[in-house]
Formats: sequence, structure tokens, C-alpha cells
Amino acid sequence: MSRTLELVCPAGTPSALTAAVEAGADAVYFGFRDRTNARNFPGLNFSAAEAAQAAALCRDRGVRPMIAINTFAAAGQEHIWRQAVDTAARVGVGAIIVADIGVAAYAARTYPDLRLHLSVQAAAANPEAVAYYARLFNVQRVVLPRVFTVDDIRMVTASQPGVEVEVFVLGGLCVMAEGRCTLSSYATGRSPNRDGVCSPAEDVRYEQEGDVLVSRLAGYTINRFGPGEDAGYPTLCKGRFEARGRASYLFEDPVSLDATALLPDLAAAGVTAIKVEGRQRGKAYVAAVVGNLRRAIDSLANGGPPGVAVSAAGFTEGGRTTEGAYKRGWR
Amino acid sequence: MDATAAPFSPLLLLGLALRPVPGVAALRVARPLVDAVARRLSPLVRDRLEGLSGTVAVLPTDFPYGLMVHVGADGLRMEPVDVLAGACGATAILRAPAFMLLDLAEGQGRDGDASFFARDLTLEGDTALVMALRYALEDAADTGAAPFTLVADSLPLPTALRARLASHLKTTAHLAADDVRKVQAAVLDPVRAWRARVDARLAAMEDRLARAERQSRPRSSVALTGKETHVPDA
Repeated sequence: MSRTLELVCPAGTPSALTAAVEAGADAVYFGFRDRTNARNFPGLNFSAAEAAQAAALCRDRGVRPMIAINTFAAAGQEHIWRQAVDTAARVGVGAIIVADIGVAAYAARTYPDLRLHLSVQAAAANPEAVAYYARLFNVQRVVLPRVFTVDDIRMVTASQPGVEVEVFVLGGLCVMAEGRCTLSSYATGRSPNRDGVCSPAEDVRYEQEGDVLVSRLAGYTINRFGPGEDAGYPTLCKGRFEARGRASYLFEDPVSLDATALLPDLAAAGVTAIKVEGRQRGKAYVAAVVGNLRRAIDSLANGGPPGVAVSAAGFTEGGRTTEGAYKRGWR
Repeated sequence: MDATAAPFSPLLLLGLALRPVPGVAALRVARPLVDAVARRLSPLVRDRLEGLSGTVAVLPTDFPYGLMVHVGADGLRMEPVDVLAGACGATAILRAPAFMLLDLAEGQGRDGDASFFARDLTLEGDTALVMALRYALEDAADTGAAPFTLVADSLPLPTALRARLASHLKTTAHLAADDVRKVQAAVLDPVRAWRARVDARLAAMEDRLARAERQSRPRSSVALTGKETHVPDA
């Protein structure tokens, strides 16, 4: 393989960031402690001071720090998102990851030298959309939706060679039109798009009914896991609902994405960077999966097999992995 | 593994050994150490717990004593509790084997999500508080708040001895866990081998039975079409 894929890794805390750097990340993305990023969870994320330290650590180690400012600015409160962009620029990140057109416009106008990446939350799902963001805001990289096949990706890279493409290969699998999904809002009044949180922890409750685990979101029962059955995240898209008298996963099973085996195909399709989901995960997860992916990329560069990144480490949601939309049989 | 079932572990054995000790006495002995650990930990986690309040009952499934972790405006307080006494007043309850809880606090082994997915850990009550506490503890572990370091630093010892004690405690704990796993394997491996032999014999018997059933059926004939057809039973 001639192309070397850039490994973009998540960090929810400074300790996870250190773990990612030490495990071989090429770039680390993180967010501030507010609703400007899509993992606005209690106790998670970086203060401005922590972001500055993180950026400095990354630069020292030759790793690109990126800050996700990837929610949609609320009317009348744009200053929160602008402030996040200002802070990111001040601490010297290697890129900011944006979703909102207004935030992108502000960043492009105010900090023309600051590298802009388009978040998966922007749902740029065709070459024209990618070209638009590149032309208007000088977006240099786009993170493609997790419902693309390798052929879909190739279509974008071939028609927009001037824009780098980043794709998710590992972690949580979102099958909705990202940035458009309002399922969480229906149940809780908060969504990843405006509040940075899907299934807010404040609305999640687990109960043990004997050996059965019941998960509830804002009072709605969304799943019942039988004795010994592996559990999943409490999101509505991965809830088990009854239709025609039978309870099943109507949207998506609880399962983790692992497209490690497809790395050669992704590289051949013109992908620049591969991304690991999981800023909400612990540093043990970050260290394990980043290390495995580092070895996979290095193995590929030396003509070896990519291997499997996450399943062997026992970190998977629902105890299973999938190559997801990359191999979508339902299409 | 069912999180409510006690795994075979060094702490399970220690708990059994402690059974003759009255719970009240054990808690009284533990309280000063737990207080000291909380005093050291509180400033390291306060930032990530800001604005949150409540009490998390951390209850090991393989040890008779756990912790009540109180989070509030004044930071963090902890008190040892008898697991059997329950989690009275807790806004959240976390249950898992003790070594898994130690690993989680240190950011080692599997992370909290993975332990939850595997049903090795159960969480009930205030999910947000537990999540924040988890992130705070894991992040603090990198700044001198790993569990064994906290314990060693809370003892009235010369500074030079504390780091060595923390390292020794951690090594001893992991060695003890390895030893217990070896004992468990020594006991269970012969049982597993016996079961594998029984399973193999059963499979062979089923195979022989299936072959006998096939042989006892009426012989098939080949129709003019060339397709194999079976002669009807009746």
C-alpha cells in the first residue's frame, strides 16, 4: 500500500488524550465543556486551560490536536460558539471540526489560517455539498457520514480531489443522517445537534429486574436485556421495540463498527484519515483500540494484513462488531 | 458474568477471612483511612464534579464492605459501609467485582462502557453522577490519585516509603489475583476436561444414532428424471 492513513483518535479527558498520543495517534480530537461539541456529557471534556495543555502536548509529540465545535449554534447565542472558535485558535490547535455554516463562516473569516474540517454532523453526503463547503469556507477536510459504502467514498474523492476525506472505522455506529437526527429530542428535549448530547445521562436510568437489565430514557423503556445478554447504549436508534407483536431492533442493533479489515479498500478509495469514535470512552479503550489501529496501519504500510481492531479487546457494544454500511446488505 | 454474582477473587477470600470480625469494628478501623483518602482525592476531582450532587454507593460483589461516595458543593466525602446494609440514601448504586472497580478508578483493564456492555457491572439511579465521577476519577488517576497511591499517601509514612508501598500494594494485589486465578483453574480445569470428554462421547453417540436412523429408513430409488426420490412411508 502506498498511501499511509492518518489515525484520528478521540479524547474526552486529558488522561485519555495522553493515552491516545502514547498509543500512536496521528491526530487527537476533543471538545470544550459545553454544548459546542457533540459529546457534552457530565464530567467530560476540556477546560480552556486543559485544551491549551493538550494542544501543547500534541505539538511536542508531533500529533495534530483538533477541537470539535460541531453542534449547531442557537440563534441569539452564537457568541458561545464563536468563543469556542476563538479559544481553539488561541491555544493553537491544528484544526477545528465544525458543522454549522455560521460557525464555519465565522472561523473562515476570523482565522483564515486555521485549518477547517467539516464534521460528520454537517451531513455533507454528496460531491456538490463537499465542493460548496470547500469553496465557501476553505474547508480542507470532510468527515463523511457513516452510511457511505467504499464506492460512495470513492465517488467523493474522485470528484473533489482537493478536499481530504476522513471516515469512521471504529466505535459507535450511527445510522441516522447525522446532524439531522432528532430522536433524542422527542424523548428528552435535547439532541446532539443543538445540545451536544444524544440520550442525556440525566435522562437515562437503568434498573435490574432480577437478571434482566432494563434501560429507560426519560421514562420510556427502550430495551430489556435478558440474563447474560450483552448490553448497548441507551439510544433510541438502538432501542428494542415491539412491532406486529414482536420485539426487535427496528433501526439498528447494539453493535460496534469495526472496519479495520477494510483499511486497504479505504486507502485505495482515496481516504486521507480514519477516525475512531468514542470521546465518552475510558482511557483503557482509547489505549487499546488506538494501539491496535496503529499496528494495523503500520502492518498495511509494510504489506501485511490489517487485522481486527476492537473485537479482540472485548470493548464492543452488544459484544459484537460490524463493518456496517461499508458492507450494507440491506441496500 | 452476572454482576450480582461474586467472582472467585482474593477479596472474596479476604472477605470470608474477615467474617469473624464484627462489621462495626471493621468499619470503625477503616473510617480514618477512607477519610484521609477522600481528603486527598476531593481537590483532584472537584472540577469535573462541579454542579453535581448526590451519593453513589459503590458496592463490590465479592467483598463485604463498600463505599458511599458523597458529592456536593464541598467536594467529595466517602464513608465505608457494610454491603449487606444496602445503599440507604444513595442516589446511584454501582455494583461490580472489587478488582474491576479498582481498574475502573485507575483507567486500566476494560473501561466502564465495556464492563457495562458485558454485564459485569451494574448501575442504577443517577447515571449522570456516576458518569461524571468515573471521568473525574480516571482523569485524576494520572495526577497521583490512583487507588493504591491514594491509600499509601494517606498513611502516616515517610514520603519515600509511600511510593514504594503503593507500588508494592498494586503488585501484591495483582499477584494475588493471578494466584487465585491459578487456584481456580487448578480446580476447574479437570472438571472442564471431564465435561469436554462427556460432550465428545455424547456427540459420538448422537452421530451413531443419526446414522442408525438413516440406515433403518426405506431405501431410496432414482426416478427416470434422475432426481433422487424417497419411497413414501405409506
